[in-house]
Amino acid sequence: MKIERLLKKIAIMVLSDIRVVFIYQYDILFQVLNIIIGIASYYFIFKYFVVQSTASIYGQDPLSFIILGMATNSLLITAMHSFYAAVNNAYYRRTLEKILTTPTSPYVLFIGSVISSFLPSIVTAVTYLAAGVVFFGANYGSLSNAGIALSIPALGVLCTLGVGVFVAGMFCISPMFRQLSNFVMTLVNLFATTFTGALFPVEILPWWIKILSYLFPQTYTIELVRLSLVYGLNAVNLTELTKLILSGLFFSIIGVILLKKGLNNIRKEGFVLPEKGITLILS
Amino acid sequence: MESIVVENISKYFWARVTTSESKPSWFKRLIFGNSLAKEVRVARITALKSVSFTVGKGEIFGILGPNGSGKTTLLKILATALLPDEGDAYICGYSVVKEASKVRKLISTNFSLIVNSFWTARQALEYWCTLNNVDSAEAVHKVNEVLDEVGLSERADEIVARYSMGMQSRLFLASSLMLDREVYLLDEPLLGIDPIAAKELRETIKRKAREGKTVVLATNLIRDVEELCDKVCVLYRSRVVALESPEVLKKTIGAYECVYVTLSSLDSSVLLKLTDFNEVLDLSIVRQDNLLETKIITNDTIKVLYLLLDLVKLNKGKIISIKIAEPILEDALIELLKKRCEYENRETA
Repeated sequence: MKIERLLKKIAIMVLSDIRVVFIYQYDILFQVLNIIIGIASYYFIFKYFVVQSTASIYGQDPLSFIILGMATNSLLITAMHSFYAAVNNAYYRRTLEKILTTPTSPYVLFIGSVISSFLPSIVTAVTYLAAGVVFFGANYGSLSNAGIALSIPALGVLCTLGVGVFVAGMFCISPMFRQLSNFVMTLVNLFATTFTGALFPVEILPWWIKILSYLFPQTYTIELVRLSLVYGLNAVNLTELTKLILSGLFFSIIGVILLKKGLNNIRKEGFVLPEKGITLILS
Repeated sequence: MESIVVENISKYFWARVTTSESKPSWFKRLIFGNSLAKEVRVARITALKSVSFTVGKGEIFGILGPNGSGKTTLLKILATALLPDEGDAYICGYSVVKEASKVRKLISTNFSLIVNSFWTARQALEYWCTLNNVDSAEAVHKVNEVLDEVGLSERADEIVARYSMGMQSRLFLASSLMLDREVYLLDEPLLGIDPIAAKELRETIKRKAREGKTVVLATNLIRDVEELCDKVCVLYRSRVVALESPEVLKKTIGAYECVYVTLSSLDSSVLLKLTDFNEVLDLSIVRQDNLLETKIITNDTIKVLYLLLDLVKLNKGKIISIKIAEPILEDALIELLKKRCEYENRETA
């Protein structure tokens, strides 16, 4: 009964967000068009210029390498950003303050928001992969490894969520970080998009950027998705998998502790903005 | 039996305030302009200081006070959305600090409704029921009932974002009243609601109290307090300055009365001479056509009536009507806050 009620609360939030996505249906069309044009530009660059490809160590042509990276990255960026965004929105739109007066845990609000923000990024990832195959003849690897390759992004998403929980925890616990959080998150997103291996292999980066890259679960996930699609699971992959899980656990555990303490801090500090009228979950 | 016990609650906020102590640098003035370049410092603001009171089961308790006196902060602490810095409060025996999750099952507020921008009032209330652990079937029934009660049945399927302020107030009140809880924490529940609906909603609040529920009401509408509350707590500059029933409050603040007089064929400057006498505490005159509607607050009604008769006789005026009444709570409150302000000014001096 309790779980049923919990799932219902989350489902209502997710369904209402889906409804909003469909209200802005033209945005989805533009998003799809944007993806196809993006892949097309890479396709023509690779077609007319000679590429010294380090990507060949992953057993893929450069276009498939990039499409796989971008598709996986779209899920991982959402995983990293969504939890922080859920807490940030709940704080500034005051839904957090309001839900604190009900018997419902604020985590329900965050989880509902995280799930609904995955829907557009799943559409993005699938569009990348499908458009690559249909329009540009991309070859990602062996179909027999598809099962393993699909389970790795799922694991990667869970581990990367840990980074989001960590940042959200910092947001709650430190008023100073709260002011800088958008700036910090933009920098982290930029770094994660550029230097975790989505567009080019991490191996070609200078050693000091490489060290930073390997702090992010995204780097292991993107690498594992590519390798497992071509080679399946082997000893090298398993080592990477262990690193991925460890980095995810590290961020998640610290993040949950910070978040729990941070929510109490917010109740102490109060909510900064004056409020009157209706709080909108989405605007 | 006490439903709410508030023990020595204090609450402080940290806020950035502009300061005139130091002059902003030329660089800041260049970038932000003179008005935005003012230096700011973080200051501790006292929102509540050593607030204590108790509220009995089935009582309607009013919190009155000017803007910024701490009414909403106090309600939010009782609703467990904020933690006090000092002291504690107990709702049906459970601490709002240590047992917040138990308290949340006992309270209902009108300031917590969460609404999606595309939801109708019905959807918002049904979702609110879900968040408050009300079963689906029961929720449908409760929502229909409460929509009828607050007069929103006909517009229940309209998008809430398009509601007027009064309709939003009704919806907020509905979100609180539909839950079956021990304590109702209502912040300005009748603000912006038309007089006819407000009268019906006052009845609904009274009915909750008759059913043994406790209602805490923070408001600026003195009429609500006068008509609804069994006990009033007056907050001024974050402190409790009075804690009485509305009747006792009116009596303790000053044994004075209001004399309402309607006069004709008389100039208002003549009536102003009344203010020379110590017995006249306050005088207000409104001219309507050739009539003077006069309100005199006095601590000696008989003497003021004699003075008035003399003035009217001397100036060949005419008395149309005289009415003597007890002061309303509003006068009492203004008098109380005036006294408090004078006292604090003396202390500061």
